[in-house]
Amino acid sequence: MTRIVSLWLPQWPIERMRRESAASCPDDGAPFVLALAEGKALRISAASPAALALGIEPGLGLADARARCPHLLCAPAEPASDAHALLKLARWCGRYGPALNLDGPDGLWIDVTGVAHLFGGEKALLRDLCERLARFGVTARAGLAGTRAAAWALARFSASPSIAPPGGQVAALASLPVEALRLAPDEVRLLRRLGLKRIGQLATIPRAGLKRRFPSRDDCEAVLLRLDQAMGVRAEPAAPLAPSPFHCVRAAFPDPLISSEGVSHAVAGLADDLCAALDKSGLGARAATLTLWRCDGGTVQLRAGASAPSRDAGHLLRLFAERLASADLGAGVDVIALATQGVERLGASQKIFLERETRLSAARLIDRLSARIGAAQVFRLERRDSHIPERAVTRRSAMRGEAKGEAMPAAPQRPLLMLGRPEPIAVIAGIPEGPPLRFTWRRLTRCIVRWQGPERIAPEWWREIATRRPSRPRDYYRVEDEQGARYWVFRDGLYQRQGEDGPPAWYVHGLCG
Amino acid sequence: MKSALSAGVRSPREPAPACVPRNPKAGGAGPRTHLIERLRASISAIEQNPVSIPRPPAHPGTGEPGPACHPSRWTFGARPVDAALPGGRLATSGLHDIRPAAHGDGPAALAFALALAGRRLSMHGASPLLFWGFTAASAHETGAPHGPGLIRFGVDPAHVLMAEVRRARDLAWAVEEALKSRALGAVLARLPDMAVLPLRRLTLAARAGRTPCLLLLDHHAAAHGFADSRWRVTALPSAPHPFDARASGAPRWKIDLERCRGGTVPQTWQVEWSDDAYCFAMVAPMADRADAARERRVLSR
Repeated sequence: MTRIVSLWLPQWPIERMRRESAASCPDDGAPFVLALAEGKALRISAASPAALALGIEPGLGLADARARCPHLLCAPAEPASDAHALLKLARWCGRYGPALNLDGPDGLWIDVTGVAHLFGGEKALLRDLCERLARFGVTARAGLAGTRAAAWALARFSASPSIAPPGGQVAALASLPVEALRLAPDEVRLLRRLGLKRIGQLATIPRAGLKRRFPSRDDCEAVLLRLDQAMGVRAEPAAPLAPSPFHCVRAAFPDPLISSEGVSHAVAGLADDLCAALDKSGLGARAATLTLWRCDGGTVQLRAGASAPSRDAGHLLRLFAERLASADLGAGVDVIALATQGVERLGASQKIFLERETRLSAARLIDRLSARIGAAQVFRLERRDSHIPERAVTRRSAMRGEAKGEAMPAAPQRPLLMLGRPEPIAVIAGIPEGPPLRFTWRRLTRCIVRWQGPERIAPEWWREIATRRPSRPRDYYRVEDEQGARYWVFRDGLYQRQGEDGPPAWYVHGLCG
Repeated sequence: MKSALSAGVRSPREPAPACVPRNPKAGGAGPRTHLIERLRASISAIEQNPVSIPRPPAHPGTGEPGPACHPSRWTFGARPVDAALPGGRLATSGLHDIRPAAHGDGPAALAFALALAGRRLSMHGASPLLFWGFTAASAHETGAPHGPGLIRFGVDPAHVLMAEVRRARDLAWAVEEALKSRALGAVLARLPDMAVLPLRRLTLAARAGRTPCLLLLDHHAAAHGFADSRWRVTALPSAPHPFDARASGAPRWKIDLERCRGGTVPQTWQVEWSDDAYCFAMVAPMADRADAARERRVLSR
């Protein structure tokens, strides 16, 4: 008796965008749409609830929508990112069932046959699923039935969460409109003209009479196929998402291992076996997990990652060696398992900056450092497309490989060290646009003998559409004091344009050598 | 003279020679040999330039072979300083201590260390990667490294691997691992004042990995006997900007060589770092010092 959950995420593109960057989407109250270029026209592909309330629906042209609602906010749609994020969400839903796959650009189906008792019943399962998704900020509507088509119909056309009892698809679907059968628009129009508005009516009508009403036999066959699939009379096979390949080697010992040297020796043997398995399939491991089961029932789990796929047993062993030496083995270890978490084809293209040996040793160094200090603490600097100084450069974890962006520009000159937050300073300067003459920072007064500037950096207005208090333009000066120390200071705001924030303030942002 | 000429014409495919100034008396007429050296330097500079940092072919004015041709020795580019070092260069598998003279000279010491690292990374046969380790506390106090600011000192930010650690012990471990890995051209670390600095281990690791380690210590850190050279840096008022009278030009530092393995007398120099030729230059004598003092008085009035 199969049971399938169908999940519909009606606001997926907008909610996905909001999850990734809250600043790019305005609040729920404002009408907001996503537009996609189709041919020469821009058409709306997704609309927020406020926009839907004003009558703006997907499929409408953007110009018409703007005519109806002049203060409509719009952003470009990103179908590729939506699909990718939906795939990641689908993998997370793997906790509800063994087989699942995507169903359209905004839906999933999950096979929960025999799983419901783990969650305390089917109702509890659906409630748990919807609540967890709501906590992520994703509105979801779920339906559970014996066939995929019936679950699809319940999720979209009846109140969520709705459950059809086993074998009771006919009764559950009877009151739903015929669009719930995933028919083409022409077929739906024909059925409505015939007066068949509900699935129940379609199911009870004799088939011979129906065949005469359709323009061709194929159309009628298509409609009846959908109906039979929904009722469970004909099968609708669907392939689940293939899980990522998983290599695991395990060793069990008749007597528990009590010393860490013994454990290291055993792990060395397992690493050799694992790398032999990876070698046979031509893959390299990016992350590996070592699990030790102690004889008192506890487990110790260690994870390690590599910045480049590797199947070198020695390298894998060194990543675990440090933490293994300090792991708590309890009374002894019974079983050890070593599994890969992420695999990649070995020999993927790499940049030809460095010699091969140097590149390999650098990758190994990065892995060892990241294993002890943390992957986010070992980084490279990457250029970002922004002229605001604190946003112009980001840290990119060294495990993720080399940055692919452009080289950093040599002009204009920037300081060597930049403070995390600009610190306020007391300045004597000419008003309205004079350079600083003297300033006090960290309780030391410094007299300025040389200065260069101002370099005006205006705020990025396109990022601050939704904020109420946009930031002010800054005038940066490179100054030098009598001892020869150089600073990078700025004035935040202009005297001519003092808004509600008050007069301009001075800050020090960086130190130059 | 003929032999010097024919020896001077080389096809671009041959590897560039080591850029050591030749004795003009040995090879023939002085100016001709200088010209040949400059041409050689510019050809090798055209062949071997990294893409992101523009390097001019030769330093104009002096007859020295341009510092941009990849040297095979770790030098300063300024003759008096190089002459004082044992062997005319810094040791490439050892520890070099750099301390600021006072607390406010910290950024100047860092800039000096970066300049030395940049010269080391452009050496022939050295890996172009630099490892820079610092603690979160020092990043909070004086700021974290900013990518575009490194270009001025000849270090390409794309080739810098950075590590920010919370504990000083982890930083010492990371520096040791980086030195032993043999994948880097130089290692730069700002070690805070720890009770016991594992300097002997770092020296051994530097020798084993044949990688130089530039250690930035606090101005009050105790002296120790493991370093190959010990420097103290003071910031000086900078050179006048060539185009703008009020702006600051090239950075200037007073560097004190306090101790050097190989037995040198402690000496002090005033050097200036040239942004466009990526080398050190000696600061011109007293003549423009009076001008600078007069300017300062005028500006502060």
